[in-house]
Amino acid sequence: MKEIVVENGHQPSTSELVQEVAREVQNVPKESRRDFLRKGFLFSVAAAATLGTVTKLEAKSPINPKNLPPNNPEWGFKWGRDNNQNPYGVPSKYEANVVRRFVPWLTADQKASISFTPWQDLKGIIVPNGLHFTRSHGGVIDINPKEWRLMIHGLVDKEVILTLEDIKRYPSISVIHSFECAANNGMEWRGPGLNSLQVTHGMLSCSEWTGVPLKVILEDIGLKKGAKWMFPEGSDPAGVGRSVPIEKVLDDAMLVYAMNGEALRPEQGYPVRLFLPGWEGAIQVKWLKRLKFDDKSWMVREESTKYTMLQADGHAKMYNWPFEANSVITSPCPERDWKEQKHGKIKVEGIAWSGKGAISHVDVSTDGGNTWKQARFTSVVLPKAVCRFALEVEWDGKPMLLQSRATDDTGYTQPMAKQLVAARGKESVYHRNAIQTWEVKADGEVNNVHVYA
Amino acid sequence: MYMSTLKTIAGALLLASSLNAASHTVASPDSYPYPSVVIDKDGNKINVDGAKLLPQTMQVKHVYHSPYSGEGYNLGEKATKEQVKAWNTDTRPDGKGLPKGKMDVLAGSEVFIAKCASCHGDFGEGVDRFPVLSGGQGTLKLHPKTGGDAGPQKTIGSYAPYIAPFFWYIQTAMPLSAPKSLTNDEVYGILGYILQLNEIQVDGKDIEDETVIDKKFIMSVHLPNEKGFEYNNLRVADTKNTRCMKNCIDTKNMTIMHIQTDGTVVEPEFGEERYYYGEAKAEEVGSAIKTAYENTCAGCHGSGLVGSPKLGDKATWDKISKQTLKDIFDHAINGFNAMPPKGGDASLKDEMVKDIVKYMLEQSK
Repeated sequence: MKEIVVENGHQPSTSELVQEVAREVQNVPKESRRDFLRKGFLFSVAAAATLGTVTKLEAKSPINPKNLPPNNPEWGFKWGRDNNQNPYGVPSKYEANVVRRFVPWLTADQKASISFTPWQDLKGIIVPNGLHFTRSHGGVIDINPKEWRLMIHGLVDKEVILTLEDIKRYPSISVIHSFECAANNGMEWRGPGLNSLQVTHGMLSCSEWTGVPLKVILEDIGLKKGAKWMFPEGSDPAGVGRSVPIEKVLDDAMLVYAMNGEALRPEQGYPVRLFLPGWEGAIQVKWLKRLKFDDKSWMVREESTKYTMLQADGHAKMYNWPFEANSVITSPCPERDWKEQKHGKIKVEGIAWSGKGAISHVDVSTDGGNTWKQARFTSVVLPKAVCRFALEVEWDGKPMLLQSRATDDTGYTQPMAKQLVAARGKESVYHRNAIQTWEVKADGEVNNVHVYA
Repeated sequence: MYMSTLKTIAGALLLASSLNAASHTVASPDSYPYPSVVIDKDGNKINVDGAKLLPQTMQVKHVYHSPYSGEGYNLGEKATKEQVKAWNTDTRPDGKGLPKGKMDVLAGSEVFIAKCASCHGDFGEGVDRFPVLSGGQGTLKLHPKTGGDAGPQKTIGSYAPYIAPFFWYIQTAMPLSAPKSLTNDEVYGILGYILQLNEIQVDGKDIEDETVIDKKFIMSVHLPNEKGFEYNNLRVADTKNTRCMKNCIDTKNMTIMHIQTDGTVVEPEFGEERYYYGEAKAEEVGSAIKTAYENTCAGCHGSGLVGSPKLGDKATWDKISKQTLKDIFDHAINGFNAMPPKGGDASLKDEMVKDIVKYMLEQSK
């Protein structure tokens, strides 16, 4: 494969790189172009795309010594803005880099596409609503809440049409749960390909969700005997539908209309989405239109040709709903490395989560998984939710292979990459929860690597 | 007398002092009266604010099982038969839900080429990164060692277990730019053409151009990979790692895989610094124009679909900008090549279409 040569001293921008890749693609025979495009890692964008040499977006921090002690900083000498100048509120202007990002080559268009949560800059366990990763199959839509209707039909006593006000009148609860796309980390099966926490683990979020448990609604309208499956369908252009077993419906399934205190964002299915704690995101249908109860499942496209895990022997596992225990170190990471950190005591921080229960332990290794120390929790630890952990280590410039390993209260421990590959092969696409390794180099640079031992 | 006088004076003093300093303990900058943690009668440690001192661990485990019920709310309007019929469009593997309708494969291929081929290719081979619909049989066991080797090709012919659910899928979600626009007949015809492209046989017979596709036909189809799936037993993990704490791996045979070719291209780009020191990101000027572009034009021009000039593709737009503005406006308003008049939204005013054209030219300089 031809490498794209970057001229000395020229830092190409992302759009230049994408155009360069596009030009390269034109030179590939049409027959194999598809494969070329499908396997994004082949894009040989040389060193240009690594984070260390990324195009400079803005000037370095302009530090005015007059604002440093013993001087009084200039912002203390005059009145600030009016208290309600921004009636909704916006983050500090210095935080404008903390945004969702997408990978242009990953999807054919920007409607059926993905954007990633910037975990490298987030703290705590709640992801701000604007930074919740987004994934939709036909673009984001706006629904007038007064025109929104939910039909519940099939094997129920009363086939009904509910309004948003009806949904809000039912008894509600607020719960904190993680939310993840089945393809999170899915680009890493064949090997390390992306040097960024945001794009290796950014299809994960965690919020407080408010809504009504589905069993509450079904107590009102009555479920008929023989109802084994529920088919939720979205009202959006893609009309995503999936099969949900009745056991989950009657356990903790919800119809949610608020996240982190405010109405759902359009990207998350405003006004109402299905919510299935701990399960893959694509089944938690957004912009909900109807719920149908029936005696058999549907095996629709999104649960047969997609969202199934192809095994090494050629057969595939379907209905892979919950996420198993997972964790990743968020500091350091490729985006937030230790290049400018002085040697000494430093904390390794990260997040852990499981779709099957609460995290019971997180261990951290600095030597690629040979020796481990138990980390401490630094947040509440809730079932089916992101929790935080930390462990202090000594940073003396010796290279490290940093890993974290989560265990949940089912007794399951997050697997090593080789265990996952031995069990499933490399073409499973979904539900990759292998222990992540960050290589910390002597100068503090951090890279995504895979360790096999 | 003396004593009573004294008492009176003392009373007066007391009164004076209570007026002066009151009966409360005066807050003094020299001391804070509640500095220590105290133990209450139940043995709890009580902090200065009256709260119990919590144990070091912040672990909270809770259960969301409260006694409440939806019974008796009696909400919602009864769905009428007509309403249910209109929305009840799903189609199960066993054919339940497949509607009336039929089309032969030749006619289906014409519908496919007119409405599906711009993304999926005339023969289902896939354009750009849009899904491949044909071929791939025998590839499911290919597990390439490197990204360059051929991998599994998942199509309707090679991977999908059942064809009937695709009726609902295609009718609901396709074509991407005009979902829910295909008639029942057209969907049957398209399904027939896709099955033919995949060389699916029914009862040992090839699907011919004249073969008529309807509910009965679809129910007789068995796809090659029908038995290729198993339900995941989610109660049993397929990996069994343990919480080993030392000497956990064979360090002599440790392999570290580094990124060979980095695919980390993101938008917006990562900043060099954690913090942002650029200009404040101003409100978009002319956001109504941008919104109209996003709603009507970006479906194709955002990604260069159906041969449309992609927004930001400087070379292509340079060529376009060599025409007169009048000509460009004319193309945009009245349609050009695959593009329908006004991008398919007749409600757009001519002036808005012109503004959008200017916006697109500006964005592609």
